Amino acid sequence: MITAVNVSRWYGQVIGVNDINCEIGPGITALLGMNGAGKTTLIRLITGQLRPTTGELRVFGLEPFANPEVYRRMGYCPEIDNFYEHYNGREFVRYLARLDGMNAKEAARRTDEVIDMVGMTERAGKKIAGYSKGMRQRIKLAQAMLHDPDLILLDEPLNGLDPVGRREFMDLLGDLANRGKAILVSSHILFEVEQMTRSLLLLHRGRLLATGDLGIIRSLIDKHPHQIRIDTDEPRRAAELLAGLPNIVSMKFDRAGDSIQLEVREPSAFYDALQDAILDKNLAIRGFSSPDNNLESVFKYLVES
Amino acid sequence: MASPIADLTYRNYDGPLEPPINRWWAIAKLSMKLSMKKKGFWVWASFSTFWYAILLIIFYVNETLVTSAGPVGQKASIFNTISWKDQFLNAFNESQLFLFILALLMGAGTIANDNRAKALLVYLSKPCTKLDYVIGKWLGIFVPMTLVTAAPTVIFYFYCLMSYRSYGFWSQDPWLILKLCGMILLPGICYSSISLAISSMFQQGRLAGGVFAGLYFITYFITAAMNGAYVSITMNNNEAPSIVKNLFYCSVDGIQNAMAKILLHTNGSTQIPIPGQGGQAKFQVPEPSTLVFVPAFFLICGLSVLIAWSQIRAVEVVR
Amino acid sequence: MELAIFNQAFRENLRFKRVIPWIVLGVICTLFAMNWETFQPGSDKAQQYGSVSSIFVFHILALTSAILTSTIMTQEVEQKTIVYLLTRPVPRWKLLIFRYLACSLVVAILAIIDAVMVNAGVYSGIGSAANLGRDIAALTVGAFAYGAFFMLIGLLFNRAMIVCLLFAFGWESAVPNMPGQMCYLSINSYLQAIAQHPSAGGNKPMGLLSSSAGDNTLSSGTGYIAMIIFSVVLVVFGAWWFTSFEYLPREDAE
Repeated sequence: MITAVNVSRWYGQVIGVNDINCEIGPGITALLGMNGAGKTTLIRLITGQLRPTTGELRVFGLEPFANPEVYRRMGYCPEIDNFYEHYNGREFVRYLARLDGMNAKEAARRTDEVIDMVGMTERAGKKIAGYSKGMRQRIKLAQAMLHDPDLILLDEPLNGLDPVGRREFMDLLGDLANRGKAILVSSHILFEVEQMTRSLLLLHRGRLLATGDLGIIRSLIDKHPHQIRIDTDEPRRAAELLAGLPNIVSMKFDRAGDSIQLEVREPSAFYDALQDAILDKNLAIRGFSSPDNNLESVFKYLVES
Repeated sequence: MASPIADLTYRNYDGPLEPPINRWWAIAKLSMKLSMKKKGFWVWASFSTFWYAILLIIFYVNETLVTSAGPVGQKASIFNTISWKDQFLNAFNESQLFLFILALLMGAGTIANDNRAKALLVYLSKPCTKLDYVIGKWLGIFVPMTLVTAAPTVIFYFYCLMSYRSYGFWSQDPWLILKLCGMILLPGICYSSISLAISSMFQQGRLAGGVFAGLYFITYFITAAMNGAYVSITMNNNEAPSIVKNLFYCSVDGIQNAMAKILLHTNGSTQIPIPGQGGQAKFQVPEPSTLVFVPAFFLICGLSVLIAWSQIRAVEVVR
Repeated sequence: MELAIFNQAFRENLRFKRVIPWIVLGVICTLFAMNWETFQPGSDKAQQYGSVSSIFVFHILALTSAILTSTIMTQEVEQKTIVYLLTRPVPRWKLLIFRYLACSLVVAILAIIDAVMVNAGVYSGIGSAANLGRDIAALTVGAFAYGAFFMLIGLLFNRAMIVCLLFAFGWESAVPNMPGQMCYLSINSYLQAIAQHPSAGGNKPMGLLSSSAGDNTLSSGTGYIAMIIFSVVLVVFGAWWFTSFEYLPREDAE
């Protein structure tokens, strides 16, 4: 749905995004990066608010800048927190529904639908000026889903939502993704993104550091061995048994003496060998975990490298 | 015994806790800095001095070409009949539009933008009262505005004092400098008060600016219309009714003109000093009543500040 | 969709809170109109109406347009709500033109209300329908012409309102009174040609204030044609500009 080829955008002498190449298809994709990494610039390029300085960006095969054909199939929830404050939530969403090309009746029906989807039915009649951050966020989400778009871009969508709202919203995104929609979620809160998707675009200082599935990206980072924690009552015996495996780089006992932490290369080979090494030796294992097999670690490794 | 390893953990400030003073000055400084960073401030401030520049050229030409051309030239010199204080009055009146634009730049958004950004919540959550805030914002407009008015006036005064004493600059009014000191405060007082009041009523600087501009220009047209009426009636050798004379001063521009005339104690004279008729005041609307316009001026300014003060709330009220 | 854009902009500009200043202005103009003989002794009713209309109503038209129309898009940019509009399946030119039409119509309505009130003030009831009719036509054409100009300025410059106010009050007051062909560079000259206000007679100061001291010999027809062409050209150029260039949310410019 979105194709970027060598896309760069400069603001005078400051670079916004630099030489971005990527493809985004159906499902949820996370756009990750620290503040100032270029996430909003990339979203503005995709939503056609900006033109690339160099390179080519296509959305549904079309150039997005000021292109109504693209907007017909795209919904956008911006990061900004601005509205027509004297409108109530329903009026605001209904006005944008009219701009989406719906007639008055259809706009009213669809407005009620999306407002219900974001859980704002009871509060949609109040002035936006009196809304809390979370309510504003819900209204922004509602307007992005109005015309049932194939592509939805969400810039920091979970800001201000309470835990229940976040859960509901993530479920909603999951449903949409299951229906074949492409959803691009920009965020710097890794924990939340991780709960939504494993597919990511990682931006750092305007450059695309990594793109694709989290697990694959993690496995490709050779410089940083994977950490594996084994919970057992006999950590020293486990160490003795594991020491012979070739992929182990280091071992560490924890202070409580009930686990051992390993650094390994090629984790899949390690797991294959694990059966023979300890499980067949009657060593009681309470659990396995991989502390760095998460987004935060991947992000940290990539950015630091 | 103290540990050989230094304690590098964060320590809170444990010095003496003095109550903060002059909090309004911090707000004023911030406002002034913001204003002076704008290129427009310097452009319009420069434009506001244009009448002094024109006067300098006229005086220079008159001095070097006319007065020095023997007895005939001396007779035709504008310096024979010039009213010096009226030159300051004219320059003051001519600068009004530019000073208004400066006020628009500095004042329209001064509280409105804070309202929109909800910065008042931040200001008033500090040990800073509404009064500190209002005084700070008021001074933030008043000080730059007064400096812009004062600089060319004082420079022009001392230039004339050094160059044209022989033409009566000093003898006409030895107290002129004191009167000018009063006059240069007028735009600062007037514009900072009015713009503060208008700005406090809006959430957007642009809307506040629109209303301020509307107030200025519409009342300006009343002044202009009354000026036209006064001149046309006087040209027919009739006495203009007092409503014309009083309405002439009923504008943002006009009331400052009234105060300046009262301070300088003059009816004014032609804008370009005319040889032989430098003090001609036939078509100038005469000095207004001190008893009416001085209290009116301070009442308007005071009420404006009061409006601003009453509009400022730390808590956003949604109606 | 077009109707929605138009309706929203129309209702937004005609909100009661926004209209109050113009109602107050109308009342002030009416008070002046009722007493204008005091300020222009010896003038007949038609001259009085012409003077008040030229001095107040036509300048209010320019002021209203400068304040409302210069912000057609900058308001959205500074409120940062522009992102909601520009990411909808609406061609940008439609967005601009329908907002311009709504805004100019509001300006025309406000100015016409003032003209009717002034007429009522001078004639103590509606009098001289021909004068009023010409004024209504001139004010309507003027609202769209000023609107087109100020809208374009708003698209081109960050501090549009200051530029527009200077144009409305500096240029539009001074240029119509200039000798020779200069007066044709002012919108007000064309509007005065359409309105055909009676001359102020030998009253030079009133002539200057009414913007009729220049050598304006334009006919009413020329005024209409020139203003329509002017408006269309500027609107088309504005629409092209708005479609071609980037508009991102930014902080208050004024």
